[in-house]
Amino acid sequence: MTEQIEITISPEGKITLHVQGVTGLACDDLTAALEMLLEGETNKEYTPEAFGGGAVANQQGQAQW
Amino acid sequence: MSHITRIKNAKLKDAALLCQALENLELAVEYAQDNTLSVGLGESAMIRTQIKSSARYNYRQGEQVGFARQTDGTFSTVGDFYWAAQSAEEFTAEVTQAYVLVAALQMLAQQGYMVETQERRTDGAVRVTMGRI
Repeated sequence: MTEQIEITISPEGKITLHVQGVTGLACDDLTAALEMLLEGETNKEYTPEAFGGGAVANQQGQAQW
Repeated sequence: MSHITRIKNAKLKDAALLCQALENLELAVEYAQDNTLSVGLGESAMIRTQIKSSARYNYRQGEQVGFARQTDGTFSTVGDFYWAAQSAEEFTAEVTQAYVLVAALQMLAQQGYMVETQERRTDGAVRVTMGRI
């Protein structure tokens, strides 16, 4: 299966990365390095696909930006 | 597994990435080891570039602006934008977008991802898709 990342960067520099098709913890590792490099405020959501179709989980319990 | 990560208020700390971002915006870059490059009215910077003057001041040769390294390691925009075609906020936002793009592409390329599509949307956002088999 092809692993794909869709990146969107707003005119102000807010970046959104949608990671698809990466199994296990490697999914988190993919964006961890970028999170450390940019040192910004991070918000992470696991999509329904990650939990077999359940609700979206927000790691930090924050509202979506 | 699938997830969505959002990062806002990125800190500009990496000089090489910042220089690359400016070059990607087709701006000439001068770099010094410290804040020793003069810009504007008595300010100094570590990275200096030149942006277009406002159309009202098109007789000018462009405006020197730059980025000064702060004590916390971040870069801040410096320079006199009075004659410039962009405000300091507009320029900083444009450079931040370019910086984040360079950082993301480099980081993901190191992990084996290749750019499949890249476009600038009408709202000014940049959208890139990358894949790895």
